[in-house]
Amino acid sequence: MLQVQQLVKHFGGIKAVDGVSFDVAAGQCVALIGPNGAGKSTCFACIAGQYPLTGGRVIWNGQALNGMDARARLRRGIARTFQVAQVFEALTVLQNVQLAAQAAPGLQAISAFKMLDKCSLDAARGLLDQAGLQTLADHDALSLPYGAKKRLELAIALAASPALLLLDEPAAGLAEQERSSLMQWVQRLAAGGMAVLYTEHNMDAVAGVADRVLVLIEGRLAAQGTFDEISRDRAVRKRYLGEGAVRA
Amino acid sequence: MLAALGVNPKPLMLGAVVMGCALAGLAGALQLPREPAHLQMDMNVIVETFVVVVTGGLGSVGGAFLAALLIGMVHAFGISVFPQATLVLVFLTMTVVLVFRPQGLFGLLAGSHDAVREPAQKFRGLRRGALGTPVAAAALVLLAGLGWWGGPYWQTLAADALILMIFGISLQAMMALGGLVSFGHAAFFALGGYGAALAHSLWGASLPLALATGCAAALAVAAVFGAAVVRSAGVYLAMLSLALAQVIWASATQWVSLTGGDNGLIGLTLVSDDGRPLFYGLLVVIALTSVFALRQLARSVMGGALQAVRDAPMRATASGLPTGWLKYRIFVESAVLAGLAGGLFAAHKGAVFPSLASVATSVDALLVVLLGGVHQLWGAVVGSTVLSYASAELGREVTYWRGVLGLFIMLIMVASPSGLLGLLKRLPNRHRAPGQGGAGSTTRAAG
Repeated sequence: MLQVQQLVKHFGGIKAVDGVSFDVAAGQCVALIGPNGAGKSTCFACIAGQYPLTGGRVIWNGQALNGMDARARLRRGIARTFQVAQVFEALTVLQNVQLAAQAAPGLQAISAFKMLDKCSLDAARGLLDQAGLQTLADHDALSLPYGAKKRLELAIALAASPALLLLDEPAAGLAEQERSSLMQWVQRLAAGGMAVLYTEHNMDAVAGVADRVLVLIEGRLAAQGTFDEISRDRAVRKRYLGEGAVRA
Repeated sequence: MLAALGVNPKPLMLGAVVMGCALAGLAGALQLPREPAHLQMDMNVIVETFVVVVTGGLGSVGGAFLAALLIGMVHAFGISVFPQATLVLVFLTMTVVLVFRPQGLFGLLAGSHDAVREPAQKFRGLRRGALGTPVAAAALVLLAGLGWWGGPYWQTLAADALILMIFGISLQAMMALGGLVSFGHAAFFALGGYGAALAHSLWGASLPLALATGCAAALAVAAVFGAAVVRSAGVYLAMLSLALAQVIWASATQWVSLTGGDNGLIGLTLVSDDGRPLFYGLLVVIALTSVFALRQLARSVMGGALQAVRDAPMRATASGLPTGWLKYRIFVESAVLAGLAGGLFAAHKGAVFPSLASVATSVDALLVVLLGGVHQLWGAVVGSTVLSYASAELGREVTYWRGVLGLFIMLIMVASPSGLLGLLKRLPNRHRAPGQGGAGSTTRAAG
């Protein structure tokens, strides 16, 4: 279980995140939303380990993550994707996932004597099946359309068999159909027991997907609950979602 | 982005280049009352200019101004306080600045340039299928054989080309797979050369032991230096390596009791006259082994990891790849191979000189790689063959051969930034439908 306790992040005199606490349990899919400048990206970066914390703690399965780098977090079962999809463009789609699966255990697996094409082949093919990219397996990642790159990056993150998945705006830049199929995949992952935390601007990728929604406004947690609950919250409607936000 | 707003960026870029060139010309003219125009002017001033710009931080005019003052003062006071170390003081200043501030005094951090990163390049073999590599290897052996049967002149030329090939492949490995560009790869070539020469002249070491000593010298320096430089990237790393090469060059010039100074170490008999054919065969074997090792590396998990770190460092770290360690490892391995090439050079020529560590030697390595094609498996092989042949044969036939060679290289770079092999590959692609071939093709890596 991920526990965020009184998270504080200041940039000089600016309080980007100011005492935010929440938790994400295994099998839960939690969305972190809020207007631009609300501190959600900062909050996410603090949890993912990009920024050092000014105060508070991030605890994963009883262990504080403060000060751990991305590799140490990965070894403890925390994987992430980036807002702008990043893949290994010089490799083929299949090699991308093979490399990620091979790299996850640590340094000893990075050998100059093992052929990449022969490593972790079954695991990588399985993930490409999940991602719906099996027909593109031998294409260069460079040539993929953006939607496929997003799916490939998620497959790369999953190659480390994480227990907690952090997704930074997974639906950003995707067409409606691509978005819904990607979010369905994320839901299936959570249903399979993975803890998922994601930031998102697009409410179509939150409503009906996230089990719980956290709303950040001005660096503080303004509301949390199901999407229906937060969309009925007057303050959230006023400050972020707009008055027409209540859904059936 | 600018073009999307309706501004044509080409005249702007051209204007900036023209203005830069005009200012450089003015600076050159202003220099005349201080010293007469001479042939070494260009190399001296370009190195110092790079030092100033990089120390100040790329993109910062104020930084360059401050760095020019700083470097100028270090240079001026250095002459009066440490006359023996004047050659290295300037580079030490830059190294100290870059080790503590990898982006220079007022430069921006490397990460902020991510948006203008070049598209990823795939490392490629000669052609798809299993035939390309054996055919290329056979061609290399055939050429080397022809060189041997051509008599002493061609033997020497071919041996020069083979050594340049091994040196070029060492640089190509770190440039193509690690994305690490070095302006001072000659440092390790010289360490290998002097290491082998000193082992032979001081301890009477035989060829294998002398070569091993040369490699060990390159390994020792790269192991220490690499730890400092792999934090940097791009032009900063290139300049730090240039600084190292200049320090090695200055040591070779000024540590006369050990290195013989400008006279170098001569009269080495690492290879006897009877042993020449065997040595020549050894060069061919090492050159071929280097190409196959590079091919193996590019296809291995480590090669994939290196290219991943080169193209998407944040994703690579998030996927658990040890980015610093990978860069360090390819840097050190590349240095050891350059050291081996240097040792072979010492054995082949029977002498070593400070010019082994000169900027010109580093530029040769870069030319070999760029001419043939950085991301082509056989790039350094083609580059070194063409460069060795052109510089020897043009020198005999053409009066202004340096100018002709320069023009030829410029032409290749403009026509095909991916080198001669890239140019060859593009020709048949013209007959294919658009969208096939190039970046979108499914050619296997280094096949």
